[in-house]
Amino acid sequence: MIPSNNKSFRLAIAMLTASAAILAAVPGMVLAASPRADEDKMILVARQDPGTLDYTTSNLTALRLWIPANVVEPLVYFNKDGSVSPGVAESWTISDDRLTYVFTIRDAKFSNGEPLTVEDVVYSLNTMKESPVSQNSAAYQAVSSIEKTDDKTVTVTLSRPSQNFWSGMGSTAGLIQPEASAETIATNPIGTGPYKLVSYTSNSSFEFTVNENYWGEAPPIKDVSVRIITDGTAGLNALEAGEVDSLPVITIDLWEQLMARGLDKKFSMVTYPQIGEPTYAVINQKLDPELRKALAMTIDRQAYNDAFGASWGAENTCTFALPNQPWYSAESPESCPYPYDIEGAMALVTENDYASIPLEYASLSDVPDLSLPADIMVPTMQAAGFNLTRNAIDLARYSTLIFQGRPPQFDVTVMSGDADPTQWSCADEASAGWSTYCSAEYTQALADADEALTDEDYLALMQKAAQILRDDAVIVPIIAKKGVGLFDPDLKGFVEPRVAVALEFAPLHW
Amino acid sequence: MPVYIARKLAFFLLAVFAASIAIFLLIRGAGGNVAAVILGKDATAEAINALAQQYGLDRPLMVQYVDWIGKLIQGDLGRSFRTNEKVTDLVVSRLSISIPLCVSGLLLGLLIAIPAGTYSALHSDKPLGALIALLSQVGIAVPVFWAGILLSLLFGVKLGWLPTGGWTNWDVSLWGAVRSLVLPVISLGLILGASLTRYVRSAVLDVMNQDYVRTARATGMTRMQALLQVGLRNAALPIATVVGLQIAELIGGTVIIETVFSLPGLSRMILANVSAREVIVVQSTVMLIIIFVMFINLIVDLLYGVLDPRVRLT
Amino acid sequence: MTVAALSTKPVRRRPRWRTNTTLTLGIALTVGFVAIALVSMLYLPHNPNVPRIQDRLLPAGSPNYLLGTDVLGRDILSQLMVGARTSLMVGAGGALISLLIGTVAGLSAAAFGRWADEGISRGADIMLSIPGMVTALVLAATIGSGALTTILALTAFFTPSFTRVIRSAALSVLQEDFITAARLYGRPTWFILVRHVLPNIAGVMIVQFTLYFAAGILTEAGLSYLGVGVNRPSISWGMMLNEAQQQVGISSPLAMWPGLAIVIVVLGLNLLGDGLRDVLDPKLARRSS
Repeated sequence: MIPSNNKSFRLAIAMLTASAAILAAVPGMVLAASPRADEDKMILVARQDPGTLDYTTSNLTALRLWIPANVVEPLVYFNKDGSVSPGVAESWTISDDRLTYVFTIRDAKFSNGEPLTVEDVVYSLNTMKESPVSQNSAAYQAVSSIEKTDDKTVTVTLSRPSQNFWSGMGSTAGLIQPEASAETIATNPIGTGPYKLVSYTSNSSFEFTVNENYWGEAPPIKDVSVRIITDGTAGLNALEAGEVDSLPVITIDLWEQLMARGLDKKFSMVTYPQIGEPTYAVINQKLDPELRKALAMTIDRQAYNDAFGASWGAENTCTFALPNQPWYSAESPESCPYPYDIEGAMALVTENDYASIPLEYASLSDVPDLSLPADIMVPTMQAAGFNLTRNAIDLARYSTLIFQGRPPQFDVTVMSGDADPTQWSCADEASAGWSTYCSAEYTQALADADEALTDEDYLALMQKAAQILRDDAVIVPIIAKKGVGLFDPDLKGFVEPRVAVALEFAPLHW
Repeated sequence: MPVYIARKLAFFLLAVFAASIAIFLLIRGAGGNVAAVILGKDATAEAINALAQQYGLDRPLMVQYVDWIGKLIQGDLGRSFRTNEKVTDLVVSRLSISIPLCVSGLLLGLLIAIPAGTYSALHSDKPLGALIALLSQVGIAVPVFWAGILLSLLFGVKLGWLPTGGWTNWDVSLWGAVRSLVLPVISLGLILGASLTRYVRSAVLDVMNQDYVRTARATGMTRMQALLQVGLRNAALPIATVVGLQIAELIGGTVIIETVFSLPGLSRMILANVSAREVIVVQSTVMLIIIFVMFINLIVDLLYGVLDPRVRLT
Repeated sequence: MTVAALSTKPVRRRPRWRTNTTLTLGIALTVGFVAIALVSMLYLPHNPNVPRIQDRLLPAGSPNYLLGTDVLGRDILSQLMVGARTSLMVGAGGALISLLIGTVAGLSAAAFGRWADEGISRGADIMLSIPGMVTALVLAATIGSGALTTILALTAFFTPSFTRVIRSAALSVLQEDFITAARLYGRPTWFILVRHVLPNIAGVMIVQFTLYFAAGILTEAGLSYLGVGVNRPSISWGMMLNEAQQQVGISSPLAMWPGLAIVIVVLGLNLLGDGLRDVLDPKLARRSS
């Protein structure tokens, strides 16, 4: 009897072990609530690796999503309802002529325990003023001096009123860092925010924990891990399996899958414009204006929208803006000077013999969001009769040939990026940027808007600038993509980004 | 013997030197500039030139090469331009993924190939032997990334047992890290196993036809006994050579597998740094790999010299 | 991946029926593949690059689209046919150029004395120790990705291995008595190589070409999957897999067809190579027994 007992005992143990192993291997299937909820943790997913965390020299979204607002704070915060909240500046006064800004600095410490000083603020603003990133330095165009007034206040003097300056103080241009830690900014940026960065492993993850020196109320979730999963499908799988709690930024190339898998129902989905980007064609300004218009007429905005299978997340537009910018307008006969008209384009090709003009289409081969539009645009333009050749190049070459090429080496290309209209301003033909766009009229309209003293004047002038940009058919907007995020249904409190595109961890709670 | 070793060593050094020049010229010939990539689309030419100058990229190529190779000899692999991290640190952290991946993949491959290859060599006329031969033929034809896709479709999407991609670091969760490596290792191991099976099979067939095995069998041993007692040692050498040769290939295969499963391994690091034109990172990492592969080859050569005196004469 | 296809050792005692089956199947699959690639130059059901958004993501078996369509409504069958053409061009191109260079280098190493041999063999060793994938990545960055770059990368991978194989095959021929006779007769070395050695290693060359052709298709697919191979308007099976994975996810049938195509074609070429070896290369078999 004993041997047989022994045998069945062993069998039972073996079966137990086997089932335990199987159960252990499938946590996502048995667990409904996130195991992180009880540990005051959350795991988010990033799609891209920034490589560097130095926000003064890089404007990569992959970096601006996580570091500003969470780790490094700006002087002020602009809320969605139009109100302004204090940040590093406890209070501020603006002179009536809008030429003098006095910021009173908060009595606070950086996350490394060092006190926040007026010198740090002056240093930070000066660094941003000299930043090679034009989005940062553009805010300071009207600034004539940044000075320490006393141990609590900093005075910024402008040579003319500037809307960009004030909005910049609530964006990356207004981020405050300790001067003493400037050396390590690329790997370990330090600030006064609610969280501090524990570690950043390139291509792997960011680890954040609460900043015990934070001046405000401690956030509810203690540890935040941002895992870098470059493969979009893998990110969705990780969410579905319960390995992570949120994909706060889901790029357009995954929207098709997201809906097909019903993830919008299983998780709470948010759409918000801040992180969105316009996708636009760029047609070299050296080409004849009539030719540019004919090319613009081949763009069927609905087709691009449908291609991503996501009309719920992207709007067709002819205006270079995002839906949260007041001068934005959706595609309409009034706002589209060159609506889709393939027959019209073909007629123009025949009439003007455009087929005899060789055109080069520069396509950025390693970015899926851009290769899909290129896959539509190139064959359509060819079908309309244009003599267009597609030249596929990687990012470094694209940087060399187009971003830095003077003149840039392309006739037509497609790009997606931030919606800041000032990036196309251009003082004179010789200083035209990579887009080749240069219009004195447009630049003047933007400058006038910057100097506007009232919101109404500002809006009217921005609308005027947007109209000039549309009519010139160099920057041809196609769609405005919104930001889309999925959260575990139990993870609540999402707030739309306030500091540029930064996703704030602090409001989130289980 | 000392002459033989000295000659092999001299060639090793010469080869490393030649490869370093080749790699340096290749990556520098790529054009593009890390400063431009870092600064993005709106940077001015002056800002880019200033940054390039700060990195020392404006110096003559000869000077840059000597600078790089001089530091490399002293064990200094340089630093990343973007993050200022030491390449040594980067490589070490990546190797904690790539080495387990490569080694387990290779082991799994051998674990499949040695029994399967031996069996099919000894029993090529039986259905199972023929089946193994057929399966290894098919396995060789399957691209490793498709194997990865199919496996993650089955075990990740359909069954939900294992992650379909992504990486949990060792220090975050040991179990998580192992789980992230299971499917990549199986994909690599299966494909490698299929090709190694053929080598094992032909090595065993060769050995079985040798006189000493025939003699052994004449003493009444079965084929299996003869193989185990006298044949295996002789078959091991050609198999070891093939495995040595496969290492460079294996490293190539991991680029693809690391991409399929989004693993932040060494190969993916090279891929990303080539497109960012992080020339120092690429040069130093690739040189490390090449030195490693050449070193393995050197050891194999020296072993041959020890085991087979005839080799020394040629 | 590449070495996979290259077992140079013969499989002996292969029953005749199996050789015949292998060869027949190999020929059938390869001829089918080449035929489809050729047909694609004359006829395609649809233009594989022109989007038809209204027909996007149709399943296989839809009217007009035998294998369905992708996210832009492009016909999958047409894309597969053009992909066959790319595989044929790049795989065969890479293998052929490597064969030519490898033959010249291998023969020179075998026939022109110790220094030539040392130089060429050690050069091949150095090239072999640089991981091929790295060479391909850097080449794609240097001269831009595309079919020609891919062929160049394949040439860089394959030439050293070809050189080794040709060298050893040539060495064994050069030891034969009739070569000694020719030498005594005062024939110049190049004459001996062309007249006597080449015809005797032609079998090896054909077999190796077939196997490298297959390896070339696999490597090209891998490079295109990584995005450093061919780009649209060219179409590659590896690129189709990459697009399917990125755009619709791996559970889509779009991720199945190109993978199947690669397996079938590579299997066909490998079977053909093995079958041919049994028929053409008795010498190798004799030497190793």
